[in-house]
Amino acid sequence: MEKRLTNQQIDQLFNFTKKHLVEHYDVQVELVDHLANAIEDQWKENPNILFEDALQTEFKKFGIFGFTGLVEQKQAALQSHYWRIIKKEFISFFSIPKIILTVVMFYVLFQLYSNPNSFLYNYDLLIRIGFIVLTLGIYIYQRVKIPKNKKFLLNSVGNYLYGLPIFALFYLRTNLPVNSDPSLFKIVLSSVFAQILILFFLILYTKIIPLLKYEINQTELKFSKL
Amino acid sequence: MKKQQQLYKGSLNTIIMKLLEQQGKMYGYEITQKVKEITQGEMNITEGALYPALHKMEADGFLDVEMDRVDGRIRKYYKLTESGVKETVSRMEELENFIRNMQTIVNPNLKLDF
Repeated sequence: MEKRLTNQQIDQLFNFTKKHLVEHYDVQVELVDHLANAIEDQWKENPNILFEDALQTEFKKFGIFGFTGLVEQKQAALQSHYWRIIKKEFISFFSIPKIILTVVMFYVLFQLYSNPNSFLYNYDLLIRIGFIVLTLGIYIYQRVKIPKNKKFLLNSVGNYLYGLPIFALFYLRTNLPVNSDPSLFKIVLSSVFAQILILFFLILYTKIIPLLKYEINQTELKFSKL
Repeated sequence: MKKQQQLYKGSLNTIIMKLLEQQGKMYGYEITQKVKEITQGEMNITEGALYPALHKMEADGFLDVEMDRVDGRIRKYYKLTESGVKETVSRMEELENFIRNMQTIVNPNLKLDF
């Protein structure tokens, strides 16, 4: 009779991964199964090895960074997967047919920024701050919304994506509002930046977030079937 | 032994894909054991290299994941997607070319039939 792990030991393995900073359920599951298989294989050779000792032996094989390196690399892989889609979508706005929309959008922005009576001209700074507050709000809301017990790695990638528009802060710091210096350079710069921001928001909320939600749903579905 | 591992490193993804092509679906631990078995212990895929490689290929859309409950635990299986199958073919070609070239460099007089 081969020695097998008890349910209690499986729970111990889950706690072990949590203790080593793996907070995502899908990653925990994979590591627990790996460790369990490896420990049971050790018992095939020598059934007298203690569970804790066998676990330590296997954990060492993951290298000096343990599980953290693994989680970070997986996050990085997923982030670059979404970045590739963002880039592709962004380029599509500069090729036919979407470039028409891009040009029209730029024209409207340029007109608004050059008109001293327009809303955009007068409340430039306010709009930018409002935008950043909105981004922060969405980011915090999304973080709070995620269930604590069964968080998937994709959820953390979601946090990252929701937080992305915060790059607008950079613009807030480096570029003063149009009405402080309505030069042509300033108007063009403001229009270009506003345009990038709008396109980024469009891509994020019409393509990336729906895709992410779909993929999270698929993951949840796979786990709920078990 | 240690030095040899370096040579295998660049081909890790190709090895994993080839195995999945042959076996259909596999889980992480199974892959490490299978490689050990085939190479009679000569090649040892470390855990720290295997999972990042699997996760990267999953994010790239080459692998798909399937979950199953085995022995009271949840097991995560990997299998090739359609684009993964295509990628395997082109990577195997690359690897075969590499092996052929290395052979010619190491032993120029030996004629190889592939």
